[in-house]
Amino acid sequence: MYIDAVEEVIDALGRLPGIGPKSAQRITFHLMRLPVEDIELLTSAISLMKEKIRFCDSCFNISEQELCPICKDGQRDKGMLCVVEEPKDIIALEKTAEFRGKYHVLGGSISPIDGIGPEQLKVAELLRRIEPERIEEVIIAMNPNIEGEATAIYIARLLEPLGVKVTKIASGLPVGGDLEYADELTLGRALVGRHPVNEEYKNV
Amino acid sequence: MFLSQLWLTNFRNYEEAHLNFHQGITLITGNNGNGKTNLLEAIAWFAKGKSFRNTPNEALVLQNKEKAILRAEILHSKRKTTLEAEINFSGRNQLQINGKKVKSKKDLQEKIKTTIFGPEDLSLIKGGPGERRNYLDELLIDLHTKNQLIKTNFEKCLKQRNTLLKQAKGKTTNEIEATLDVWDEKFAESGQQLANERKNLLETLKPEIENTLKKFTNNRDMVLFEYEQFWENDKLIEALQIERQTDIRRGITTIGPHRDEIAIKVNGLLAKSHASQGEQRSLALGLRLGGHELVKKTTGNEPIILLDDVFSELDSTRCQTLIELLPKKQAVLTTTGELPSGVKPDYKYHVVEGSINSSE
Ligand SMILES: [Zn+2]
Repeated sequence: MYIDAVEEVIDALGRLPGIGPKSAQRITFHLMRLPVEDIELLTSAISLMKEKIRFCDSCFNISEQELCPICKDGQRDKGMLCVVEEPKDIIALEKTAEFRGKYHVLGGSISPIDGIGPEQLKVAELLRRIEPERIEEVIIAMNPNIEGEATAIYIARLLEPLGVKVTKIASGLPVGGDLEYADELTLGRALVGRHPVNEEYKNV
Repeated sequence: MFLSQLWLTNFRNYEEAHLNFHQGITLITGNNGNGKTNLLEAIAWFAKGKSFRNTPNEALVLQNKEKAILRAEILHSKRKTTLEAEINFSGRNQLQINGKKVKSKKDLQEKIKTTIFGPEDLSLIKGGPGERRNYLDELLIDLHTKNQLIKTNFEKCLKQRNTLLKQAKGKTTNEIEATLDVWDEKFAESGQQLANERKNLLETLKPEIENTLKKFTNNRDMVLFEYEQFWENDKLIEALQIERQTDIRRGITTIGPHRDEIAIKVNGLLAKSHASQGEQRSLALGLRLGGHELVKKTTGNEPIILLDDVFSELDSTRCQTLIELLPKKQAVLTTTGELPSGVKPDYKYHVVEGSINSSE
């Protein structure tokens, strides 16, 4: 429809989450009108981020170094691990100030529709942390939706034979939503009110 | 509760339109293809959270526009509520109540309910089991908006499980088996819940349907409604395990509520195959009216009746009975032809190619 150079930008933007073909088109035409300095500011900011930011070797949180600040922090409770889907969930949970352990970022939830199975997630890496780090309790804090629940069951089944206590943050979070949208108070309460996962699924 | 005003922007063939509504019967006339049904579709959109004709968003938005906007004013014992839906060509719909964003279509569904009679209703009886399951599921949501979540959860589990089975390509690995285990669990949990809700609904619905059927049929036909499931109750997870190898081989979930049937029998014979066309029409009307009565009784809110060109399909006796049964509250009807003699609309609109002329 357009010349290739334009088409390529529309295509690349359209692959981003939450941007449909029409928005991609609108943004592209907006970019075209921008002065060259503004474009350079944007592209270099993106490149710099990509250069500097990596994932923590231990928990897969975003980090500037091999280990993220939380993993490096000696003051944190070592026996507790909170499993989340995305780095942004860590931010939400940190705001509650209810959790003083460490985290493990899975990178999503089990969702065949999106082509995500356990092997696409950091599940094996999670299991490898339990013994050396002497983890006693794993708190599963997935998004309150079907995929999150299925992932919680999957992980709990792998963790239990390792002799670790597996709990899940309490419900009461808006169903179908994302962890990041829950307010601090609700999320804090959900953390405090966590309960063992096995009680839940063995009744089914 | 009744609808008092409706605004459409870039919806279907309407660029800009505004209609006043009142209690009583509103008639919309116009030739085919001019947009009569689109108006009913707009009203029902709020109650269903989607097109009742299951039209995808792309087709609801006027050509070359990015979004359609529907706005409705509802009067509930003199209190005004404004509902707004922004239907996006691509991307999520935005919903508002009284100018405030709401997250779920459930919120809108609590404010407005509709009962739709359409020319396709005969398929409730003649069509496949899916038609009857849909009928029950839509009614479940009209009765309690929380059922929307049960339905969505089940459909999501089904889709996830089917995708997983397809990805297995007929072969199974430990990884796939372990992932199937957890989806089986979620599928069984949500599936059992949905099936239970359907069965309970059918029980309370039966007397309502029988009541309305009495008004259509003079003879003493024995009409029976049976919920048929091909798995033992409370043992859906076991049923899935038994069928697992079949499911993997066929790449699809072969058992569960998505395969259940609501068998309708007249004097012991299946209405789908054995009832006459006339009997089938009566039964279809019975299902719609029975559902309407039940929603009215249970929620205390009488749904707005939308009749989409149904008179042409019915003989004069059935027309007459239907008219007598029409609620006093609010009904909106469309017709291409003549109205049956008993119908006296209180308000009239005439539609010509996406523009509306009032002829009150
Ligand atoms: Zn870390």
